[in-house]
Order: sequence, then C-alpha cells, then structure tokens
Amino acid sequence: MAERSFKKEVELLRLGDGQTFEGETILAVTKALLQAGVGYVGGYQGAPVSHLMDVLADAEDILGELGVTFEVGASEATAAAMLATSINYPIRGCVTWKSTVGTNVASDALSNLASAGVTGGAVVLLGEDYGEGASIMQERTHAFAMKSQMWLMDPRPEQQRVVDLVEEAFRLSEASNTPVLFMLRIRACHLRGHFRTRDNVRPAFTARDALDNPVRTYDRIILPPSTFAQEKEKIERRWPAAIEYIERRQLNETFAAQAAPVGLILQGGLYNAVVRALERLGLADAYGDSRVPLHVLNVTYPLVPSELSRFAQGKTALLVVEEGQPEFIEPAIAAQLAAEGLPIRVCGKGFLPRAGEYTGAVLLGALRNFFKEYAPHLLPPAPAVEVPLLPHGKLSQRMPPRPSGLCTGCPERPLFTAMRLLERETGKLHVSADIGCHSFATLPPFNMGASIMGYGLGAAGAAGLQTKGGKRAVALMGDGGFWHNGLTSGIANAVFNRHDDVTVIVDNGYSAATGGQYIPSSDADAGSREARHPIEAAVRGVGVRWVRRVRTYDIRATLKSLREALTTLEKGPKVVLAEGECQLNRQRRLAPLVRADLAAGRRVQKQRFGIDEAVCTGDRSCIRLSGCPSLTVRPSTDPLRRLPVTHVDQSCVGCGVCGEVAHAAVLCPSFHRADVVSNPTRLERWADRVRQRVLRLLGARHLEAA
Amino acid sequence: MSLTRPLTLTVAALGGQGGGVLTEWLVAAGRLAGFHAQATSVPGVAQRTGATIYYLEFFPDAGDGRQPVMALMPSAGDVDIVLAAELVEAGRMVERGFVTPERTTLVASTHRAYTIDEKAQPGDGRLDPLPLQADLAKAARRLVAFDMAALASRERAVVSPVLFGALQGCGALPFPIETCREAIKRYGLAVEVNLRAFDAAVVAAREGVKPDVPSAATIPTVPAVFVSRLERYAKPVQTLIAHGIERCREYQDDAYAATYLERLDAVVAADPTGSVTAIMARTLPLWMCFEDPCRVAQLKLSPGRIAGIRRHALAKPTDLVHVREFLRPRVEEIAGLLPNAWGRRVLRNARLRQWLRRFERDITLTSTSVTGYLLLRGLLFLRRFRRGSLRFAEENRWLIQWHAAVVTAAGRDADLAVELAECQSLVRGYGETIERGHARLQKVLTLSSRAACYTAANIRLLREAAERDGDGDAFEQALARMVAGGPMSGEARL
Repeated sequence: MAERSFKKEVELLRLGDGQTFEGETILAVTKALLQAGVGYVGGYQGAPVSHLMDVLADAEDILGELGVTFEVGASEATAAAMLATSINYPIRGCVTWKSTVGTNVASDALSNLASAGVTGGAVVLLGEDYGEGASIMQERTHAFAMKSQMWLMDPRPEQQRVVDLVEEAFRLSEASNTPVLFMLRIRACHLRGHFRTRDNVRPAFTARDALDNPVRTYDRIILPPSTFAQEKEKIERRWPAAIEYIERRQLNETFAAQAAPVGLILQGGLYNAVVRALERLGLADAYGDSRVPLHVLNVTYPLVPSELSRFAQGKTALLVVEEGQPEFIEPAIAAQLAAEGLPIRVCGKGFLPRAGEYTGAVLLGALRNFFKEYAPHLLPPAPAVEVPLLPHGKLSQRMPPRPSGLCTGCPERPLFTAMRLLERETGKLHVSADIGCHSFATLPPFNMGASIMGYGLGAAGAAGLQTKGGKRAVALMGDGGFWHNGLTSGIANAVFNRHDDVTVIVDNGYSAATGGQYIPSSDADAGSREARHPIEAAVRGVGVRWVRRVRTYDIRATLKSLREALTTLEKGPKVVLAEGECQLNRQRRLAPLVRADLAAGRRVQKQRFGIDEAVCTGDRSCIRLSGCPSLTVRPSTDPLRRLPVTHVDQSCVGCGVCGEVAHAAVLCPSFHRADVVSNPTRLERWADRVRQRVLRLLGARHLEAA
Repeated sequence: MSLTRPLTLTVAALGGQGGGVLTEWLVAAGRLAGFHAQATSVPGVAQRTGATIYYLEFFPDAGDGRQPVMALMPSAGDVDIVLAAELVEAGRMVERGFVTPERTTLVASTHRAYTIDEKAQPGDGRLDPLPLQADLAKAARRLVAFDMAALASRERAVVSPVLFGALQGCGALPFPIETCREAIKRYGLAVEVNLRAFDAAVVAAREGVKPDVPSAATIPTVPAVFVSRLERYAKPVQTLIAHGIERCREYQDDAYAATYLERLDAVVAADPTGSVTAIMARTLPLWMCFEDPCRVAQLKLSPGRIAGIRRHALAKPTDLVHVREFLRPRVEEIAGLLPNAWGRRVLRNARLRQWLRRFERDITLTSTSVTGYLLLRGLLFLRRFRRGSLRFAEENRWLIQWHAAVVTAAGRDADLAVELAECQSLVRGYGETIERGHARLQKVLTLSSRAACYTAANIRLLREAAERDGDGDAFEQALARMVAGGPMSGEARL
C-alpha cells in the first residue's frame, strides 16, 4: 500500500479523444505512455517518479484491458534489463527511476541495451533530482547519454508539450534504433497543469506474439565481433538517423519573433525560468514572447548542427544556459561554430555559475550581465531601484535549521535510541549508514553514521573495516535496500569473506522512504504481487548463522541483542533484524478501522503519552535520546521556573517509546501514558465505578477536578 | 484586476500542516476566478518532518487560448505573496530573499514549532520571537501575522484553512471570498471544519486579533502567620515569595516555609539593591522542594491531575482512562529515603550496593488503580520522615554551601551573587543528572578560591554552557579554559 492512493487519478488514465486531463505532470506522462501504445512498463520507485509507479500499481485493471505488462522492479537494473524486450521485438517499452542514482544502478543493462540497439521504442523516464530539496548527490545524467550513445530529452515543462514529446521519444527511438532517456526535473514532475487527451492505444505487437515467434540475431548479442559492429553502427547509422528525425520533427524549438544580435540556447527544462528572467528584464511578456531569440533544446543529446548554424546566423554572441557540471553542450556548440568559421562568441559558464541550481535570481543576474556586455541597447534604462539579485533579507538572528527526521512514532527511533545507549557502554562506534529513512539518523539528535555508499550498500560499506578482536563495525541496511541488492552485496558477501561485524537490517515492512511501497518481505496481501517472504529466511539461506530478531519498540531487548552482536565469540557476520511497522503506513492502515469501530460503538483503546509538568525538571535527555517530533517544549506555567518545560503535543501516536526510554535510559519519572478506552464494556464500566469508589474512600484526590 | 505579469505566491509549511491541500484550494480558487493557475512543490527529503515549499502563479485568463509561461520556483525579489505556516519558516522566507519590502505581502502564523536544536537543550534554546517579528514587519511590504495555530486548534482544524482565510481577508488575493469557499467545498475534505476555520481567519485578518493577555498572576493567599512577614519584603517580590511559601508548605510544612524565609532574610540583609533577593526568592524554594520520590508521589497524586490528563488525551466523558507511570528508581534513590545514617551505610558498602542493584526494576505503575494509588500514598507517607533522610541531608549540605556563597557574594559583588543565585538551574533532574549537577555546582563554588576567575561573567558562561549542552562537555571545557586563564570571550561561548 503506497503512501498515496491514486484511485481518483487512475480514472484520468481512461480519458479519451479531445478530453482534458488536469493534474500532475508525472501522471500526464503516465497517460502519454498509454496513448503511445506502450507494451510494457517497469521501474523502481523514488522521488519524483514514485507517483508514476504508484498510479500504475493502482491501475492494474486499465493496464489489463490494454494488455500492458507492468512490473515493479527489484532494482533499477532489473527495470533496465526489461528493455531487452525491445531489442528484438517491435514492442514499445518504458522504464522509470530516480536519476542519477537509479541510472548508476541500471548502467550495466543500459550500456548493453545501447550497444545492441532497439527495434521497438525504448524510453527511460528519469526523475531528475538536482537542486533545492534534492536527496541525492548532485550529478548530471548527460554524461550517461554521451558515453553510451543514448539520446537525452529535457522537455520544456508545458504539459501538452511534454505529453507530445513522450510519444516522439518512442518514435525517435525507433527511427534511430537507440534507447532514449527522457528526463523530467523534480518540479516539472509535481507541476499541476492540463492537456488534451487522446484514446489509449493497445500495443500492436504483444509479448504473446513475441513468444510464439521468437527472434534472435547474432548481431544484437554483446560479444565480439558484434560489439565492434554495433560501435560503428552507433556513429554511422543511428546517430545520423536521430539527427535527421529530431530536425524533421522539430523536437527542438526556436522562438525568434525578431532578429537580434544575440541569442540564448537553453535546455528545455530551463525554459520557464529563462523566460521569467527575460520578463523581469523587460525583454519578454507574460506569454513568453521574447525580444531575444531562444533556441530550446528539448533534445539535449545529440545536438543538431544544422539547427545551431541557422540559429547562430547573424548573431555576434550566444549564451548557452546549461545547468550542472561539467558543461557538455556549450563546448560542443563553440567547437562546431568555430569549425564552421562563424565569427561568434559562445558564452555560458562564467556568466552562469559552473555548479548548482539555476534559480530565478541566478538567471536574472547572468542574463543581465550577458546583455550588458553583448547587447546593452536591448536592456531598458536601469530602473530607479535596482531589483536586488541576491537574497537581501537580513535578520537580526539566524534561523535555526530544521533538518529532516524520523516521523512521530517511527519504529526506527527506538533502534537508534538503543544504539545511543549502547555507545554509552562501548564508546563511539563506527556506523556504516545506508539509503532510506534510517539515513536520517545521521542528523540531529542521533548524529550517527560515518558514510553512505548507496542503496543497500551499508554492509558493503563496512567491508574494509574488518579486524581480529577489538570493536566491531556496525552496518545499517533497510529492508528496501536489502532486497534491492543488500542480500548479495552485503550479507552473502559478508558470509563469503568471513566478516565478523554486525549488520542491522531495519525491517519496517515497506520501501518507506519512497512512499511506502510493498517489497518482498511486506507482511501484507500485496494484491497482484507476492509478499511475505521473511528476511530472516533469506539471510539464513545465504549462510548467516547468528541472526536475532527484535521488536525495536522493546528498547531493552534491542539493546541486549546489539550488545550481544558486538561481543559474541561466534564467528561470522552478525545480523540483527530490527522489526517494527512503518508508522505512517500503520496509521494509514489502522485509522479507518478505528474510525469504523468508534462509529459502530465497538470498544477502542488508544494510547497517549504525557509529561507531568511539575515533575519535569527540563533536562531534555528524553528529546536528545529520541527526537520524536511530538516531544517539544513550552513555557512553564510555574511562576518560580524560568526555563521551559518538556511537553508531548497532540501529534503523539502512543507508540510507547517514551516509556521505554524512561526505563531503559533511567530517565525521570515525568512520563505517563493515558490508556483511553472508548465504548468500554459493561464489565469494564462496572469495575471502573467500583475502583473509583474505593479510591475515593481511601482519600484519593488526583481523580477530582482541580 | 488587471495584471501584466503573473501573481506569484509561495507557501512555506511543515509536514502535516496541510500545505498540499492549501495549494489545491488556491489553484481551484484561481481557476474559478478566471485565472490561469500553476502550482508545484519540492517535497523530496523535506517531506519527512522538514519544511516544504509550494510555489504558485496566477495570471488572468484572457480567453484567447494563449497560455502564459509561468515559473516553477520562487525567485528572490519576485514574490507577491508569502504564506508561512510557522514563525521561523517565515523568517527563512526572508532569509532567502522571497520577502521584499517592494512587493511582498507576508501572511504568517506567529506560533512556533521548535526545531530539534532548540528543544534539545537543557536550558532555554528557543529563538527569541520578538526581534524576529519586528524583522518580519520591516522585511515585508505588508505583514499579516497572528497565532494561526491557536485559531486552528479552536476550530479543530489544521493551520492551512486559517492561512487561506487570513490571505483572503487581508485583501491581497484577487479572488472573491465566495470563490475561495467554493474551492474548499469542491475539494471535499472536512469541508465544514475547514470552512469554519477559513471564515474565522477572514474575520481575524480584517479586524485584527487581540493578542492573548496573560491572565494576571494571582497572588496566592498565605496563612495569617506569614502575612506580616511577607509584607516586610519589597512589593515587587512579594508575589514570588508568596509562591515560595506555598510551595514549601505543600512540600513539607509551615516550619519549612519559615526556613525558606530565614534563608531569604540572610540574603536580604546582604543585598541592598534587592537584585539578588529577586532571584533567590525563586530559586531557593525550587531547590528546597527538590524532587525526591515522596515529592514525585505527591505530584502524581495532586488534585485534578487525572482530569488534566483526560483533557490532554482528548478523552470523552464516557471514555475510561487508565494512567500508567514509568518509574525507574535506582538503589541510590531508595537509599536516599532511608534515615541518614542507614542510607549512608548502604551506599558506602560497594558490594552491598552492587548486590542491591539486581533488585532495580522498570516499574510501570497504574496510578488510577487501587494498588498503584496505595503505593504512591505509601511513598507520600514517608514525607513525614523526610527531614531525617539521607537525601534531605545531602541536598541540604549542597544547598547551604550555595546559599552561603550567594550571601557572601551579595555583600561584595551583586552581579556575581545574582549569577550564583541562578546556578540553582545546574542542580536539576533525577538520578545521574542531579549527581552531575551537584558536582558542577561544587566546581563553580570552588572557583571562589581564584579571585580572577570568580566573576559574574564567568559564572554566567558556565551556567549557559551547562544549559546549552546536555550530554557533552561544554561546561567542563569552559571551566578548564577559565582555570587556565585562556580567552573567555567570543569563541569560548561555542
């Protein structure tokens, strides 16, 4: 069950000719795939393409009606390998993931695919996570396209245009026998827009057709001498075919209402930001009519030399707006125009920063400086008040940072609390962290984790730190990462190499960080997929002998297992399975049931934690050991106290960790838990009345109103 | 309304504040009002408990089929409206240049969701909100700010409909009120609650919100015997002292309150300006009423406690509520209850102490049950033997030293005495925390043998280090630098 349900959105996929789709671009693209007659879709979830996967998972009916295969890949490599179908058969296929991380994982398959070439259109839809809010290292996908000779599209983020270009991507792929990378930037994915829909198209050629008449030709196999032939074919046949197609179908766009001595060449994805900067400089209107000619590269690789020559004609300078580093487009254009002998300056980096996101303020400054130098007459007289280029808001205090953290009630919190308590006994430990929610443990208040090497690579990241005797390294891994590759790269590898260290596998039942998708070990009826394959069986299956399963909310037991893992004399890797259902998913699963029970008058018991203000002395150990968002501070109501008191706010889900921490860490006696029983049974009500009467007889006053 | 360029709007919200839904409402309202509307967001990692930014643009639909080109992210100096669902997030919008005096209307809630750095400190790590609010007023062309979380909570809503209403009410949004209400209705999520919160916020933004005046502090009435003694003190501190008297009486008895006043009188005698007395009136009773197990039992059984817990847990009158307490007394706490000599003997015998450790248990006690109540009552009963207990003797030993140091200092250096009087904050908590507190206080007091180090500024520095750094050794490092005679200004405050 994913974080968001797309029941409503799924209906949008059924829209037919001439209707209007309204919604997020990533969903528009999903619809575009069906309109393009895609035969199979696969991928691995991750922002910003998780929604695409979630929608398709919720749209099994529609996919079934159309005969489209949909698969949630075990990893991006799996998804990429799916495209093998399009090598031999005229079936359109699309796979999707988060780039560049997913592209890294998929590279092996992608390289082989690119070498073999494709018959059916093969499109890789990339959710590009660069700039503000990005959760991955900052790199460019561009280099992947260049090294493997795949084509790279970076569409102008107008929904109709994006949808049209999705279909063009398949055609381009088929016209040039080359897979196409279709890159969508994160904000473009989440953009709400609209477009005119067309009927969905059933794939003309199906998997059944393929299996009934299998095709194989040796020239598509990755072995010499085919590989040498393929390498030549890429340059001699596929490249020119692509350039011819891009130019003929005008996939790139030139906006030039009037002639000007300068022009801008930009990646399609940056179009809106560039137009806004021009508009702020008085060089364009709100509709994007620009006094400066623009050449918009919806296909950023390969470049089309004839288009560029035409655009450069009569100009003295060009500014290439290319985000990310190193720059590839700018030097390529400069080299081409120089070779053609055109007397033109090609600018780019220098006016623009070499690295980092091209925000509105960055573009505004760069364009103004470029025009000042090469076309000062274009700029309107400087306004009386210069619009400030840089954030000029100066505050008298610095705003405290608000790092991401684990959610209220998260089962991973008590695990890290236990690890902190363990460090009180052992001293600091080397922790090899991994990708997933648990990577937030590297942030305050836990501040734990020395390195992150990639999804599922937590255990492998500690492989170099093996010693005989002494302290052991602790590696972390999520259940998502475990199934992605950690089982082999981490666990089997540790067994084979006789590691002696500890791997903690966080088993929360879902691929939680990407939106709570099912994985093989989910304890749930996963619909058309098969789950409930326990991690423990897999770990033992590859030869781990020392395995402990703990419920993370039981901090003492977790602490004990971790302590044992660090000290046991038993040889071989030690694996602790830290289990606890993702609280977000749990609440989503339970909340409707609880509501229904309450409405039907059935007995419901809820838990809520609280702090006795008068007992709390404000030491905040509890906050430093857990960091639960519901644990906060507020001014003391005690006129004698100067310092604020600790307080549990209304978001508490009663997970129990506060009580566990109070015990395990020997904290203060301030915490209490209220067990609230709604619709109690008659017996309970009777017992409560008796109890209250006895307590009153005994002189109890805490039950009275204040 | 004629626009030549898009109306730009940024929403800064935290997870769970409804920023996504607010964006949907705004887009729908814009389209209903005849505007092109575009919205996007950057959730990413920030989605999990961090801050999320939504960005919207609106442009009048001329009806000619032409599509305006709208930006996908806010740009410094180019934002017309900023909605901030929390005070520090509003500050962050200013830091990033999205709020500019030339054009930005800033609609912000003044409530705080404290960040982890602010709330993890043992002292008071909270950002001072007053200078920030003043900054916001200077940074924006127009500021509409009030506690929107309070209004939301009154209407049982989240903060997003309040932000929407405040924006509509302040007139910066070119969509009529009925269009906005229609957008909320059409979206279909908790329509009634959201409309109520929206309407209340419209009114609040139009008519302004009266800031909550803290209810005038009530002066507790003290028994007749204390009235004349109380009147001898300077008027401004009488309220505090009355609270102190009542605290000591509740904690022990009238005689204990009298001891409080005797100790305070010693301070008064040495304190011509009254500045030290004003602090000691507060910190003396806090320390004198230290939280031993009897005190905890007393507080857990205080009248009205369960009713307060029921309110906090949002229990309905028909619900049953059972309250569990989490206790983890160590041998030291138990021995502290014993008569002084016995307790001392137990603790001095390391082997006995170790043997007793095996009886330390996690105790989960139900204070709403008969047995739980009787256990707590039993603990409370021991209060009458408190004066003879080990813990009482120990605390008093520390307290007397501290009190003497304050009195001595008051005669020579009032500033130093004030800082020493505040050092009660070092000695807080339970178990190992308070043991560490005692040790730290001792270190502070032994500074008196080094005249150069024994200054108000140094004592303040040490106390602030302890209040800022919970588990680390900032206090010890600051002390070491002091004793070594190293630099004491700027960088030592790290």
